[in-house]
Amino acid sequence: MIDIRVSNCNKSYGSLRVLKDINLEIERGEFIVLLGPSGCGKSTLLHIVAGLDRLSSGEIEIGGRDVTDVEPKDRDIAMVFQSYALYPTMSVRSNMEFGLRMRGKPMSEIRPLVEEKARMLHIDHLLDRRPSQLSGGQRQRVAIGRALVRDPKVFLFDEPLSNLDAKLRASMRTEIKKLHQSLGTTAIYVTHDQLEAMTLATRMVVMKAGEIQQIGKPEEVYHRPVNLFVADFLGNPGMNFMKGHLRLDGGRVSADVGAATLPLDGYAFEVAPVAGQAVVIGLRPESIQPASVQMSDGGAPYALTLKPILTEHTGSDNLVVLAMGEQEIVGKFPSDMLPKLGEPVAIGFDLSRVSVFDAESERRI
Amino acid sequence: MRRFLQRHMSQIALSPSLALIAIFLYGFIAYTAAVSTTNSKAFPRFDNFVGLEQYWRLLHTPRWHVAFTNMFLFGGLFLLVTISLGLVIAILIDQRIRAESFFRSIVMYPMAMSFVVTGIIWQWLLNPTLGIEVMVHQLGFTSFRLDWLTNPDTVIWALVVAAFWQGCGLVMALFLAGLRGIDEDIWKAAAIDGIPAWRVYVFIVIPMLAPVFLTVVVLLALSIVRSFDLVVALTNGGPGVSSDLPSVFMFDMAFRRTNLGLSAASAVVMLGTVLAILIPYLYAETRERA
Amino acid sequence: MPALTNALPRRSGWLTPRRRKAILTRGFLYFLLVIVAAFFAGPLYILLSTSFKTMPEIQSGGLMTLPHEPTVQPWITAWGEACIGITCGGLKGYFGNSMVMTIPAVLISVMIGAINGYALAKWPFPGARFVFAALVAGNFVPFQVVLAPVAVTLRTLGLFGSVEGLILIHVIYGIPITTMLFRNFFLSVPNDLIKAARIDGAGFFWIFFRIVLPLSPSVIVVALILQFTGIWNDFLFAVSFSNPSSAPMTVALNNLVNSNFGVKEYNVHMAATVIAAAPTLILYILLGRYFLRGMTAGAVKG
Ligand SMILES: Nc1ncnc2c1ncn2[C@@H]1O[C@H](COP(=O)(O)OP(=O)(O)O)[C@@H](O)[C@H]1O
Ligand SMILES: [Mg+2]
Repeated sequence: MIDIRVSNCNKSYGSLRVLKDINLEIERGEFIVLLGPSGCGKSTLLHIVAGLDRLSSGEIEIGGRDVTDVEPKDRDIAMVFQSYALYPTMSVRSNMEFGLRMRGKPMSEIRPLVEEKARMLHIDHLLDRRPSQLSGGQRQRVAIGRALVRDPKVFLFDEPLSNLDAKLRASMRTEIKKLHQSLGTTAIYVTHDQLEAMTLATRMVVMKAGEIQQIGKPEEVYHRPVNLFVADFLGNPGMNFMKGHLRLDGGRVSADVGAATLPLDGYAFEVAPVAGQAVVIGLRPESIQPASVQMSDGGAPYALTLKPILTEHTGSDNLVVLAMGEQEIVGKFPSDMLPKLGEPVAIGFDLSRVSVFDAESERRI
Repeated sequence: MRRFLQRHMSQIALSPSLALIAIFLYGFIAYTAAVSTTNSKAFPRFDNFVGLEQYWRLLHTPRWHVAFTNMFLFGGLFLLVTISLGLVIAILIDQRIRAESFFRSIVMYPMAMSFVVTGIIWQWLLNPTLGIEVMVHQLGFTSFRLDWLTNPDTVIWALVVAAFWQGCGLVMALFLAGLRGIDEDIWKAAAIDGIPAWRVYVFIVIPMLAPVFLTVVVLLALSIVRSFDLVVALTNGGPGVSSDLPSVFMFDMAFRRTNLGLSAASAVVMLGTVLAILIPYLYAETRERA
Repeated sequence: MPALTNALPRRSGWLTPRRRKAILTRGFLYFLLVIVAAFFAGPLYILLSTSFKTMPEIQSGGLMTLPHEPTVQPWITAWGEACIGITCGGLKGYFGNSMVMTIPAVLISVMIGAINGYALAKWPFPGARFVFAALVAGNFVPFQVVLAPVAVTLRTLGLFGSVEGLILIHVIYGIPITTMLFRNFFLSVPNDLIKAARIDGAGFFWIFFRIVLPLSPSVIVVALILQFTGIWNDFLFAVSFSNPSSAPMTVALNNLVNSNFGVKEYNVHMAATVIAAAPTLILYILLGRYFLRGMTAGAVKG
């Protein structure tokens, strides 16, 4: 059942088009992550769903009701802000009570509700403090608590974790995931952090310059990016790109990338390939391994002998920069395999994971 | 209806102010400009259009000449004295001195005083039979003369010293804030290069204060065009009309000489003077931002 | 910052030429500062000491001396007996006029400025920048240019010469400065706070009173001081639109001191001057820090 529908939504500030014809349908209970570089319009889209910004054209539906002209307070949503936006002059308790009090709920019902949610988030001992007396992580919990007590139809999160340090961020991420699993409330979550997006999302929406690039499950977007931008934006270290042309020999397709000719027999082309077509071959570092390592499909990898020119130890694995003709590619080796610089090694390419993009349109073919 | 109110509360809340300012500021400026093209006497009348004759008449009124020249004379001297001494005092106070806040407060308290009070105080101090002159005589310098208030040629200095006394604190505070905003490392770098402090001030620090200078000049210039109370309380335009300013002229014509038309013309010229100061400044400001 | 001199070395010991020079420069610095302080503080000292002297003592000279036989009679006269114009009731009535005029005018104009500033900073709408510019331009206008039409308007409204009329005028012409002050301050209040409150269901005024105002005590104090000082010290509007019964302090003081009738009682004049300056001076002493912020923010008002 569709819970939120954004149709043909445009937003401009003066002559600046911030959102361009956005269409998005969200099912009840989904956890949608909006991902994209800073300034691409994620917050604007979220604020439009919230009703905080008016759209220039288009429609918004929540729960089957057209809310395009409905005030934020009447949309039955709750929002968690990057800056937390806790009311500085009110206690934690008043912060959490505020929304319900504005809705005229009797205090006898509000009190137990606030205390229950506070216990759930382990902030019950902080209820009488002011926000300024809390740590960053505690403020974050209060901000989430304030949204929880409202028991809204939709949760909106605008980069809620980006002000926390790396460790707290990881643990809050898990907690938000657990919360969503237990409550099942529809949520839209904005972030520019791909790790958050990959781990939290049931579906993610990748945006660039006010346009949606791709909508899909995290693994789908990760493994089958629709264009070079999405391919490049996800993954750390980023996807390897090799420039080349397509070859067609009696029904068999391969890509000549200079130093090698990669067979693309297993690749599911979405557009019929053309001989000589300029393409970019994308392959993630984890699909480039020593030839001795088993590949994801269990089959024998396509193997090449390449010269390592730089290695980087990251702890869990070794990143190895390999010379491949004039181009350089990065492979992700297990941590116990550290090749010697300058000594050629046999490298396996997991070509079942390859992506092929048209060099001109930059789209997946 | 409720939704309309909610959505447009911001505009609704602003509209009374906007209406008042539209009428009382812009409307009234237009009104005065209109009066300046009439031959109104005690009351504004619009049935006696005379075109720009009032401006022409203004141009040929000796008293207006004195007033308008005085504005530039007083303004120039006041700017020069206040900016240079205000800067020097700010630099003195910026020397990590003891009791800094004491000295700062003493320089700044006159800002709290009205121009009427300032004028009266200095009228008393400059009074040749009771004030500073007598005090100096009693110290033995019997030939000392301080006749600014009674000498038409020097009365402008009385205005300058009183205005300086009142306004220096603000200028000093602005300069001091500017000095405090300058990167400490500049001093360290200069010390390593062995540059004497006065050179650092003249060639490095003061040029860096250029934006403060601009602000101060505009602020003081606006206050010069508007100064009225100080003259009324200190010299009342005298001796004769020698310390007259446009604001005093305008007031006199409007309320005492019942010559509203001429008074309106002088007010419009005052507004024009302000715009002449302001427009280049705002232009520079916006260009800087862009 | 560490400019003309190096701070004195703490190490005691030989008076080297370099140290001597440092001490001398430092001494010269304080000498200059004392002269500066004397120039600014002197007039206030003279004002106060003269106000406690008898007329014969004043005429015998001695501007800088303390009163030989201090008397409070000049203060009593200034407050309750001095003749201003044709009435001889001292300044007390005018002090009352000033208070009755200033307090409501300050409160109303600060309130209006706060709401305007909040609307412009936190609830922008198309054209908000233009509205702001139009309101704030009023800070630069020499009020001489509206004097005559204001007089006509006040006469039409039957408010000419009344305290209410002065309050109205001060409130209206206080809008530009208070709006600018509050708008600039409110820009620093996080927008997310407003958005969170809107989602929680609070409206324009609710957010203003419960969330924004509690965050703004300092700017409120600055605005109150700025407006109090400006309105209390105003002379132009006061002298243009008041009559003898509604005149505020500035006008009364000027009439007292600069009248050409009778013997000049300088001690009374000085006491009267101190009385006129006292409220703003006390504000400055108590709240100097806010005072400066107000003056610099409102400096354009001149
Ligand atoms: N109120 C506004 N006025 C003008 N431009 C705005 C405004 N809000 C956002 N923008 C612009 O819209 C674009 C998208 O902003 P935003 O949605 O905040 O991006 P993101 O959240 O993806 O970083 C940015 O280029 C930003 O400068
Ligand atoms: Mg954002």
